[in-house]
Amino acid sequence: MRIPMTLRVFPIFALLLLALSAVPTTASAQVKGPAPYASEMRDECIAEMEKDARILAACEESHSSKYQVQDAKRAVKDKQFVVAAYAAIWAILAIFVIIMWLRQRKLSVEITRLETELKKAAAE
Amino acid sequence: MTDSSSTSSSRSAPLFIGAAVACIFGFGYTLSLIFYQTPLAAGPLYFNQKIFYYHVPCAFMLFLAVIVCGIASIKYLRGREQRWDDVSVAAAEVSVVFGTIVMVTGVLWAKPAWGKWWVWDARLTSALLLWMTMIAYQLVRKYGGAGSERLASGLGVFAMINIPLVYSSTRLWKTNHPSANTVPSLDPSMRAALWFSVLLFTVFFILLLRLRINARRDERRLYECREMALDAGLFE
Repeated sequence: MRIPMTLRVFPIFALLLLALSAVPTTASAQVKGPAPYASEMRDECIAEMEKDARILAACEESHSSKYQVQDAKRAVKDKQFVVAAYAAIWAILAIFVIIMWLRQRKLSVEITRLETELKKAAAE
Repeated sequence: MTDSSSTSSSRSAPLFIGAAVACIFGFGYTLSLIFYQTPLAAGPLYFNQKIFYYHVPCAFMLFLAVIVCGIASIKYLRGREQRWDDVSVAAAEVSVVFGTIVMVTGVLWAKPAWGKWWVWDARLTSALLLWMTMIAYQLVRKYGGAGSERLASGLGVFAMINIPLVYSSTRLWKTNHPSANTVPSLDPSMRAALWFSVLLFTVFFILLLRLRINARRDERRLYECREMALDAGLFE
């Protein structure tokens, strides 16, 4: 009796599918990391989360994309204040140094002029 | 009479160059430290905390300038030596500059951190009073007329006495402003950036003070030259 082609191929497909489905399972088992460690704080956290489900929900929510977007928006908004603050610092210091420089130059010119005139007057 | 080439201006030229070099390299490096090598602060401050690295050193320089002004004022009041008056005037002017920076950066920090530009808490109010005292010093010197040196020196001493109150105001009263204990709790890279910035601002402060003292001496020298010119009949 001849076995139909479909039936002959089916076990091969089934084995292939089984092998493929096993691959991600093994990979996900590898990224799980080390086994949970013993820690008083960890136990306390688990106990608190078991007592109040809202803690776990809040933890999960804080890692959600909504919060990440909020953080990014805040960082961009804060950036304006930081840029303004640094610009103000440099502007104030630059203005002070320039004013001091100009004042000093004016003084030097005036002193030189007066001293030359006084020398001339003394020579006459 | 001395030659014009020996004026304080020409003597202070290397100081100007030193200040410029310190500005370009040192402050450039602090920006790299602050924006690339320190982590973002946790909590509500986040990126806004970056203002801290210049705000705090400038506040230290404000205190340092006021202390220098106060000590020079005491010396002047005791001995009436003109050189101490020069130091006092120079330090008072530099303190106003750093006080202005502290006020502006503080306000820009407060808005995102507290949601308000200004709150009347003990630290902010006492710092504002200190800054205003130093502005009053400048006004007294400019418009006070004869004898204003002594009055201004009194203000300088008063401002110096005010510093411990400003510094410890976060401990003495309940304030919104972060306390001085914040610094030891910082990440080591944040602390390194802060102290490097403090060191650089101290060098910059010394240079500014020295330059201003030289300018003050030149102002007196010009006054003497004018007196001599009047005596010689060069002016009518």
